[in-house]
Amino acid sequence: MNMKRRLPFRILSLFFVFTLVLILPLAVTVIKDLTKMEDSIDSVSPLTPTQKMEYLKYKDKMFDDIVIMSFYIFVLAFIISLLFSRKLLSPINDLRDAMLDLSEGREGVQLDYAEGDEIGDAVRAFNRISRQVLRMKRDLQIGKLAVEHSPMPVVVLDEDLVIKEASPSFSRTYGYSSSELEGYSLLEFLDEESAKEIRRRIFDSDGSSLVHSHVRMITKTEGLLPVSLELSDIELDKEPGAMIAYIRDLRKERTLEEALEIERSNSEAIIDSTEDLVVIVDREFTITNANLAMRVRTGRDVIGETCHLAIYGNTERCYLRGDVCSAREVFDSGKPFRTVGETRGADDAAVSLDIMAFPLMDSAGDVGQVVISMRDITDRVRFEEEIDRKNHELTGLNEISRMLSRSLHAEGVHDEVIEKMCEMFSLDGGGVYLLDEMGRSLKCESYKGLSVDFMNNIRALKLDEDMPGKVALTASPVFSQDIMGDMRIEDSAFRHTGIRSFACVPIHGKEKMIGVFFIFGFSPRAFTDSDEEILGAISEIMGISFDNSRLYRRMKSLYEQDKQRRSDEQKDLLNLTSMLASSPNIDDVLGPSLELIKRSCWADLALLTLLDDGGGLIVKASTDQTFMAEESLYGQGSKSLEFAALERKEPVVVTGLSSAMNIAVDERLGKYFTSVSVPINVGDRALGTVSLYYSGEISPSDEEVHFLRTIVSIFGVALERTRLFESVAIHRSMAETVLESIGDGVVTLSPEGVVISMNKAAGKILGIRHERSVGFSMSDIISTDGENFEFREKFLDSFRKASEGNSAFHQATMRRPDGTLVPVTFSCSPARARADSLVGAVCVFRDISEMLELDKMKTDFVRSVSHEFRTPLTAIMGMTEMVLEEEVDRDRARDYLETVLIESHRLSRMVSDVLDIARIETGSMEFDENDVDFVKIVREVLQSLDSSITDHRASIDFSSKPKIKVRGDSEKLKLMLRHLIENSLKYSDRGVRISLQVEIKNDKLSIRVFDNGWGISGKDLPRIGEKFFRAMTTVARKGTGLGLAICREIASMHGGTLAVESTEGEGTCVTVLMPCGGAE
Amino acid sequence: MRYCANALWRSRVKKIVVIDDEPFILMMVEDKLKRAGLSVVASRESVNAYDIVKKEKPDLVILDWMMPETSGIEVCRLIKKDPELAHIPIFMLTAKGQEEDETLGLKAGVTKYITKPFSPKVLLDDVLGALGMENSGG
Repeated sequence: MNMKRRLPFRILSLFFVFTLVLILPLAVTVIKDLTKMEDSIDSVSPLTPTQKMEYLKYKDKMFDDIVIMSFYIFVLAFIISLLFSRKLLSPINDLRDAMLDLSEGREGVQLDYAEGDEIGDAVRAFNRISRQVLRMKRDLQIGKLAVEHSPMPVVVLDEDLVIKEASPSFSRTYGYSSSELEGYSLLEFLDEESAKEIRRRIFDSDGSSLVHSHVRMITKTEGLLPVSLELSDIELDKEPGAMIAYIRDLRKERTLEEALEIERSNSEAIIDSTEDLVVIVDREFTITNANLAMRVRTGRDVIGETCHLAIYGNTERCYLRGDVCSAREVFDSGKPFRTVGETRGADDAAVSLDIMAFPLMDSAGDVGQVVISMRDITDRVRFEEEIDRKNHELTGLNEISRMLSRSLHAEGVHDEVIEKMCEMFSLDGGGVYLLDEMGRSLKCESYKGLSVDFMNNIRALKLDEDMPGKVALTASPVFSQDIMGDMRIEDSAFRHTGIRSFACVPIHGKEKMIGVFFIFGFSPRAFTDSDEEILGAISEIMGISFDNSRLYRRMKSLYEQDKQRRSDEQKDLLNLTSMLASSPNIDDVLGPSLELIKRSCWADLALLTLLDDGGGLIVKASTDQTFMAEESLYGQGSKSLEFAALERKEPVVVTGLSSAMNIAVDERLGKYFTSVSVPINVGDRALGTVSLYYSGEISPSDEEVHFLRTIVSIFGVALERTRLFESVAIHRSMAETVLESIGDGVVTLSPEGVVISMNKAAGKILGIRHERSVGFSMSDIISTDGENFEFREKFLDSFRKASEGNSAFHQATMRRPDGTLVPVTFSCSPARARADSLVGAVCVFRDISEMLELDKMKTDFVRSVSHEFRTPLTAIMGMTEMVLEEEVDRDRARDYLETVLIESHRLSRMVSDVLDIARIETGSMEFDENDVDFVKIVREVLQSLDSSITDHRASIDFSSKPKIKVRGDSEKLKLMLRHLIENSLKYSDRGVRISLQVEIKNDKLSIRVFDNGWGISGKDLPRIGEKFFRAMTTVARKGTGLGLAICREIASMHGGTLAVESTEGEGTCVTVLMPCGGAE
Repeated sequence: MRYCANALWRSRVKKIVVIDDEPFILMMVEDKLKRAGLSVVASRESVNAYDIVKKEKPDLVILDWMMPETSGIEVCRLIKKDPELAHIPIFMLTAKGQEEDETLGLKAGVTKYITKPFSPKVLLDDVLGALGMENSGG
């Protein structure tokens, strides 16, 4: 752009010139005035040259100042105007830029300038223009888009039908690109005829209206196409300026129309081709369409007629007549409907129709019309009826066969069978004749539909008499539709009863003719082949059932006979068995048993023989009083019948007994003819025989012999059992005696822990009554007391182990029901019937309180002995030690050694005491018997005890004869006496008085030792003299507890006794009584 | 004063009471203890054993367990009940050797339990040990 032409530059240059124009005249004027002033001054007073010079100098200076000043003003004015012009021109520049933008196509350009000056007006006008431009542009775009997106091909034309614009859909449909279209006349794309037509129509039109025409269009790809063309004017500024053309492709529509046409003709063809009658009716029940079958059937075109007239020939509507109207049903419900109707065919025959009606919907969705399709089902209905009839017949036949087969008595159901047959064949009556056993006459068993009087005449018929007789004879059935005209039945009594139809059929059994049956009706009736077949089948069934029932009756009677026989035999056997089994003494029942055998075998004599120890046969019992019990019948090895049977171990039957050779027969048995002898065997052992004797000749059947053998084996078992029973009883009583006499408690328990037996000792130990415990559970018997817990647990555990087949041994303290405690050992062992079957447990209890006490006594004894040994040992050891250490002087040492000696003696005595008791215990003490003087012995003993007596400050009073001779062991007697006196010393306080009396009383030596010592409590008294026992008072005393035991043993060695009497706190008296042993 | 009393007590000859019904054991023990310079009061009567102890107030008592009238354990219990005498150590002579007896004895307050037969020398050692004296005398 030319800079000089820009508005600021123009204003600037203008200002520059203007300034110059101002300054120049001013400068010139000033210079001129200055020159004038010089001249005027010079003029008043001439100026010296100097003055002049000065003046000229100022004049030049002033001139210079003016120039400088002018320049300055000029520059200042330039700068000011420059700034000013920029400010003034700014909105104008903006306006210019916006306008340039708008012209370049920017939309919606708006300026912001609110001044009220000219520029402001210009800006506002510009803004309005800008907005308007935007709106117009949008309108234009929408129009264009409408054209572009139109699904229908659209072209925009000018007045001369030149294409200005074509929609993409046009291009798509007809194959032209927009460049191939724009600028060309639309008519160029139509075929000539169409172009002419369009021209004509445009010409004819009044210019404003629409032109609509179906024309053909030349397409680029598919040649000529039928299209629908719509032309309309577009008015621009109220003047027609352009046109718009809508060009619709008509191909699809054409195709659819054609398809519809084909469809319609197809359905019509289908409807016409079906044999069903099809009509379409409207709501007025007028037929709007009918198929070929319908037209053919009615022989006319029924369209326009009402359906009831066309189909049923009724002038009145079906539903008004009370019939079902299928069309109406469908109109009402809107759903398909099916029914069966009936009408009359061309020959006025009944025709059954299967009618189906379907709704036809109109465009509003309502049922506008109804299609009624009717099928002639007359044949099918007839066929079904036929099947029904057959079924009915078969059911009848089946029922008859069931009736007959269900009843075991065929004759009993004849009435029912006849009834059923009449029902099956719709006849009025019938009857059954049966042949007699010989096959010579017929007898009417049952009948129906005939009078009693009439039947009485023909109840029995001979073979060949009347119809039934003839049929029975010829064995071929007769079927007559009407007997009135039937030659075969001319002479029949049945002709006079009003019977018309008649059938008579023979009944064949398996082997022979059984009889005949007949049925009749009071009106004529033809019997078809099928009827004849069914009647034949009924006759066969009846035949079979007759056979069956006859067979059944026979079997039943045979069975009953057999049953009776067996029952009799069984009864006899049972009687015999119970008789033999129930009596403990078999001898009592042998007689009656033999009587029973005799009776049940129809024999005349029954004889029981047994083998005796010598091998001969003795009579045990018989039914004949002439035979005595235990009477010897045959010797060993005799050739009697009985021995033969025993030898063979089989029953032996002999007939012609008296005349039989080689058989020995007792003379009393000679009168019998037949004999049966059965050996009695138990296992391999032969016991004897049972023999039956018959007077007549009989041959017993196998069954009878078998029966006999059974009876005899029962006999054998009973005899054997008796023997066993006796031996078992002996064993049992022995075992019971043993059990009752032993000290151990024995309890047998069932596997459930219930007491089966309990001996006396067990009851005593358990603290219960043994005879009442049987049947109680052991766990109930054992107290559940807390103190008993251990015993109970151990016992139950032991029993459990026994139940598992193991033995267990336990010891525990048991609490009896009365609260006393008893220490017991017990063991439970499995009781076995056989090696592998447990039948319970055997529990053995032992009261070990005595044993424990004995044990304790022994322990006490050992302790006591050890204590007694220790005391002398102390003296021996200690004193010896002190003497050896020389801790005592000589005299003292002597005392010490004496003491040692005394104590050694004491120790030695103790040892011999213990040895004595040990020998007594083992029974090995020697007994050296001599005549001795007992008084001397007493004196010797007292002498030997002197020191002890003195120590104890005891006084001994001994009184006796001067001399008492006895026979005995002097050492033993001394020992005894010493112990007796020592006891009195030991168990008393010091100063005790002891009295010793020895005398002969009643040939017996009596030794009594009294003392007034501590005595013995009543509780301990019974046990005094037992080995190891020391009374409570002696706990603190010395002594081995063996003294009295030794004394008692010695007394008993001499055949004497020792007795102790005592009162606690008062004294004791020991008495020994022993025989003098023959000494004087 | 106190010092003098203690000194006096210390210097005093120790006194032992021995009760046993067996005369020879009594004799033996008495001899042994006396030889060691101890003062011995011996008695065969167990009935008045307590009275003897009460009277003598010995430094140690030797009792036999098994005595006819009153057993050693009874005597021991009586002594231990008496606060005046409870401190006196008691030796028990007995033939019993079972453990249960020993327990019973110790319960009753027995200081030492000497089982028969015993050596007099050992008994003396034990006695001196219980009295807190060295066995210097031999």
